Amino acid sequence: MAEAKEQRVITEKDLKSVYWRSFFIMSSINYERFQNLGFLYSLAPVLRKLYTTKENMRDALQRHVKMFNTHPWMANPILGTVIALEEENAQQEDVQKDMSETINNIKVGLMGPFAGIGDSLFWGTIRPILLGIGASFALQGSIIGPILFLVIWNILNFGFRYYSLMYGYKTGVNMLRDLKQTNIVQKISEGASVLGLIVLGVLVASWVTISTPITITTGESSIKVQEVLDSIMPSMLPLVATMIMVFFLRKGTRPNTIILGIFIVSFIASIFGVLQ
Amino acid sequence: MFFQALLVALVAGIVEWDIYGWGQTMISRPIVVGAIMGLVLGDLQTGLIIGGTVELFYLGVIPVGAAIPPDATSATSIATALSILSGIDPKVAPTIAIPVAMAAQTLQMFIWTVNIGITHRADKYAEEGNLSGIERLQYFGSFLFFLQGFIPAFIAVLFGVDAVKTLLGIIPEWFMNGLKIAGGMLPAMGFAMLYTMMSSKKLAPFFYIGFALAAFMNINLVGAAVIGAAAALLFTNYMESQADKISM
Repeated sequence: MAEAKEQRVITEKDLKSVYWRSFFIMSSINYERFQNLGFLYSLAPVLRKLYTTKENMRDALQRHVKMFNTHPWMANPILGTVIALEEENAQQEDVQKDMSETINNIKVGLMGPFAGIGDSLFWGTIRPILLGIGASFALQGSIIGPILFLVIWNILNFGFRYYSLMYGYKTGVNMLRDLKQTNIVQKISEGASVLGLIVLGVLVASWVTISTPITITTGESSIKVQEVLDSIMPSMLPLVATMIMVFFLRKGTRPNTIILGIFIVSFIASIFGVLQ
Repeated sequence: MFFQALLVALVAGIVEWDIYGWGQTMISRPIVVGAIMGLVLGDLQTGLIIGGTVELFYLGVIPVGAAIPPDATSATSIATALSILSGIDPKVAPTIAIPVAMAAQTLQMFIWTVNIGITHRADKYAEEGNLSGIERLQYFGSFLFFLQGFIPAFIAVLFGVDAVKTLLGIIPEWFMNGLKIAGGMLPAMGFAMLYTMMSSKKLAPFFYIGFALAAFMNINLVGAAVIGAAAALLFTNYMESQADKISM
């Protein structure tokens, strides 16, 4: 039994081809099954190599046309795992025995937790940090802002997608077990949230600008309200405004409604001259 | 104006394509779009300022699950082009981006819906074992996202520039002023969305640590990232050792 197993037919060239195709993962994203065709498209070179009869190919296509959705980068470790499984499946004597269900279960089992990692770490933490640094240069009129952002982001983008694909293929089905044992998903998303929240605090203090021109005059002395506020706590109004929005978001108010509210408040404040 | 509209639309289409069509290389981010559009139209400085300002509105807005965020890319393309071509104050121009982003967002929703048809076609190809057919569908879907950037920008420049010039003459002072105030407040919206996603009772203190570091000590983002990374490692290691204690 042992000698019949694990003949590797997928080459590094096949994996590289999958890698380049994986950048199309979102291309036909849709409300019903999301990245299903992107996943299938990326897998195409492997399927072509493994399944030469029409029946086998049909089964493979029907297996992967099902719903799939995760963070675009995190699709790659899943692609790697699925390639390893498909390779094993194709080498069974009775192809399609019951691997189909296993493969789909692994896809579905991984995509949720991986989306969680990708959303909190890549979208929610790393990208805002890099964008914030980039924007501060851009606002001073320096082209270094966008260039720096693009370079760092794409080292991560092209690097992560490559190495995670290779890792997925090497680890194969064990990935799901490793994930559960090390509790890595929760650790990463919690760590990302800690880092993200600290950066977010800095962003609120430095990039939300709300101040008041109100001056209170009593007899001969006049008090500038903004100066008083600043002496208590700088960036007090931005913090208050942000927390009011958090309050409404938590109550379930739609973001677009809140944005409309911001404009209305701004126009009223402009007419009465209470903010500048 | 036709040639300019074509040029702007081409750039807008390419950067838009990056979001879903190919790669997620982030040439679709406002800071990059503003710079490219500025270069193409010969006013890099304005492009950088508008791109940077719009970026602050949207850097906290992220796509989670099946939600489509407002389309900041189309918004930056159009706001930058209109500002440079019609001479709107770069402080006011970014607020134009807000309604444009909402409108373009509905276009993206429309394409996500159209693509359901593509997926049903793919079901048929799957039954026939026709992999090449599925690959062609994928390219078609990809191209739709180029069009989604191209068409609105083309129309906006072709017909919008003169309209905006006329509008600028009649807009009252309080309105312009209101737009500037809104511009200062709008970044808070994205930050609030990020906060609701990441924060919990247990983690909220970290937000206030970051806020205090910047408000009282003027720390910049790089410094915050270093402190944040250290805090993240300390926190996860501590939680792990706590969990070990409980399981023992």
